[in-house]
Amino acid sequence: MKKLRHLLPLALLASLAFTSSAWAHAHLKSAVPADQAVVATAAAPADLTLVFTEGLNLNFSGLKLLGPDQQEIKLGQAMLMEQGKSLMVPVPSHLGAGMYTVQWHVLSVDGHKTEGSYHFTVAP
Amino acid sequence: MSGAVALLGLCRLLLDGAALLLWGMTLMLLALVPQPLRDALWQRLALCRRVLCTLILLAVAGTLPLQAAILGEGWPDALRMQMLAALANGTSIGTAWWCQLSALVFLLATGLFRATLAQRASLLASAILLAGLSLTGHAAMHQGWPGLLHQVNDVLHVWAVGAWVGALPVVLLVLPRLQIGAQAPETAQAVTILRRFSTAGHGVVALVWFTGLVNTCFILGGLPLDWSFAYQRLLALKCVLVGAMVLVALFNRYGLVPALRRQPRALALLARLTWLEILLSLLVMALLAWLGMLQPD
Repeated sequence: MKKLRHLLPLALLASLAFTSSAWAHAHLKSAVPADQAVVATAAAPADLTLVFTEGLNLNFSGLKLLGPDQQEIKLGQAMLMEQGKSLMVPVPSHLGAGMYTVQWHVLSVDGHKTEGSYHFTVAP
Repeated sequence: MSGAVALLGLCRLLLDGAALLLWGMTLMLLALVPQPLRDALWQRLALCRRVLCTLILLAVAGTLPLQAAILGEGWPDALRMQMLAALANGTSIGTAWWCQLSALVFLLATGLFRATLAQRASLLASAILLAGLSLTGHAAMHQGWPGLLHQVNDVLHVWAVGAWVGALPVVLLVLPRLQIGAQAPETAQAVTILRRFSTAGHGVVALVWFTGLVNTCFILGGLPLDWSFAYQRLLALKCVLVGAMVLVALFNRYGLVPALRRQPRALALLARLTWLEILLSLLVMALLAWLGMLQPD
């Protein structure tokens, strides 16, 4: 018991020092194009990049892109970048003017599922 | 998919609970109960052990299809071989599952051994089952050596928890032997066993709190005080329930045990409060199974 009492503050400090940067579930940190972004037609994205707070499992992570008419748009093969924390998906076709919805679902390396969606607009 | 999520929670409860009890009762028998009583109690617990093994079998069999349904496109994915293989061989969920499947096969095989060997093998198998829990989920959220430290701490936590709650059914079997008579050797032996349990219990409960606190700090970076998250509300509730278990244990040890000689009714109350401890621990295990699937912050 005495030994435990000495160890306690040490262990707390040690664990606190390393925990500030991790969440158990992957949260969407940033995206290109960003949520609510408006991009010009000439600069319509050739790929979508989503950056998460945790490393991802590629086999169980992916996204759907819905066009202005809510039709699903065909996307290329997704890949992981930045130590597995960002998901990059090519958009083979040129995106016309309108509002697009990105629906994403990911599995973090520690085995938790998260999902969400956001919009961006291609200006006419 | 909420049906699959609820069933997965149930599988987690069955696996965690059964493995904790099996580990704890075997450890108690091997560490604190001398022969020939050890083998006799091992036999008395045969049905209980068989039920626990069946529950573990159900949980291990259910986990992978349920995860496949949750992570894939719903129920049709639950039995799609390609999906199951990808899950088993390409995720941390799968790594933990393989570990638990191997431990389960080993555990079932121990039925073929003679008692002495079967006890040791069951102890090892249930220790591996519990250690497998730290391979996925919140215990596996960090990378590098802080991650390893978190996992080691998590394994120590579940081992300590199991050593406490799994010993309680054995205590219940030993308690009636106190009634046999002050001069009987059975009574003297029971007193020795319970005294050892009490001594070891202090250390184990301290270890449960210490490793639990370190785990909380690893996952939350502090105490569970932000009650806008269900995870932190439930974790706070879990701490309260464990606190209640400690109070009951302290009352048993320092209130009832000294009164045993003078008050014949103290023994019946002691047995009833030991049952209460077991019920409380089942509630805590249900919270544990639920917590592991929630987002902490």
